[in-house]
This record gives sequence, structure tokens and C-alpha cells, in this order.
Amino acid sequence: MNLDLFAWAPSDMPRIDPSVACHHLTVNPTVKTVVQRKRKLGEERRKAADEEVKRLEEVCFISEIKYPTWLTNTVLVKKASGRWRMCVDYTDLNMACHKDPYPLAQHRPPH
Amino acid sequence: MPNIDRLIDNTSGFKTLSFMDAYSGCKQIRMDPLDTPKTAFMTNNKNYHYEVMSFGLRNAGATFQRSMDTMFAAQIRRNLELYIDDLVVKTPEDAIHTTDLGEIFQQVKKFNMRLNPAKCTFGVQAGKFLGFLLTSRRIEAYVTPSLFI
Repeated sequence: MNLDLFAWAPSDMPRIDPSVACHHLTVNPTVKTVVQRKRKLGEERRKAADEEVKRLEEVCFISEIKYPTWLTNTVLVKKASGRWRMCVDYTDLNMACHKDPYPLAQHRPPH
Repeated sequence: MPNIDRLIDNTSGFKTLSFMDAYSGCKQIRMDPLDTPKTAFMTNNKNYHYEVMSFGLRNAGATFQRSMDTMFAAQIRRNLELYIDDLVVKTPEDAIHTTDLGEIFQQVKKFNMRLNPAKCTFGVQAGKFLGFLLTSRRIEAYVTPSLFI
């Protein structure tokens, strides 16, 4: 049986073998680190963010950090389903990273 | 250079297809522990950083594709096509489809990957891949029903 190859909840998920999959950041060392100014989210978004953070912490996708050198805001976007999606605004960090030119097919939808 | 048209062409004309999707895609990939502090973000009362890859990072798609290409190097083009976290297993004869699936599952197991049961379909004649409808005879553009409303 191959049932164990399926994840039914995020807690069922181990990590892919790091020898084949590990993400490195290629930050240009000459770029100054950026700590963004805190943006106000508003009551509804803040609540959604708190719930998502709690969930991510429970499944060990994130952990608390003290004295970060880079620090960024979260962005909450309402999905078509009415639920909130939490994204992290990595604009500054991404600008400091070299692009990985690994060949990736360009997605061209039929419409 | 892979392109979407070639991916679609490579999956047309197969009798049996299976569609699979990696569970929470990028979250299955670990961040280099030296780089995790750079992913810090603030919340209402604490600051956090990611232990796993976040799709908002510039090269996340490239890392995911590279990992998948490495894990399935022996299967891609022969009995598998994939684009980031979308996989299609393709078999010209019904009889050997389970053998092909077994081979893919073995790789999934070997590298500790997990699939999303809600987004997998096994042993079908047609299905959606990257916005196209693949059938055993031809490819059609997949039109979402909402376009007709």
C-alpha cells in the first residue's frame, strides 16, 4: 500500500530529502539589510494573520526569531472562497537576491 | 529549455493518465538553516522566520523545479511529465500503468515527498494539466464552466 505517500494534513508532511531539495538564498553581501516599517493591518486582517501564524507554528513551518537583520510585513489577500491568504512581502529581500536562471517553462494559459 | 507547449505535446496520445500534485508544494522543501533568519516577518506581537521554503521568495519556483527534475530524472519524458508541483504519469497501454505508477511512487517514497490526495486522479483517459485538457486522442483548451455564465 502506498497510503503513507499521501499527506492528509500538514502534520503528515515530513520534508523532502535535503540532499535533493534545500533552498538557499543568494543575497548580495553588498546590499544593506532592510527592516521594513510596520504596516497597520486592521482588525479583520490582523485576526486572520494571527490564526494563520498559529497554524504555521503548530506544524513547525515557522518559528520565533529574535534580533532579525531582515524583517518584513505580511500581506493579507482575500481569496475567491472568502478566506484570507497570508503572504510575506519579500520585495526587499528578493531585490537583494540573484535570480536563479534554472530553466523553467513559461506558463502560457490557453485563454 | 522546457516549454509548456512541449510539455503538453509530450502528454498527448497516451491511453492512460494519472494526475498528481505535491502536498503544500514548497512547504516540503527545507530552507538552508543559515538562511532562515533572512526570511523573518513581523506579526502583531512576535517576529517569526520560515523553516521551510516560502513561495514568495524569488527563486522558489526554480528550486522546486530543480528538485523535482532531480528526483524524477529517470522517469521524466519516458512515463512522466511535470511542471513545478503538477505531475502527469502517462502510459500508452492500460496494462502497464500500475507498473509506471509503482515506479513513480517509489521515487516519491525514496525522497520523502508527500502527495495531495484531494488533487490526485489515477488511471483516467482525460484530465486537466496546466490549463489544457489532455485526452487519449488530442489536446483541447480547458474552458472553465464559469466562462459561459
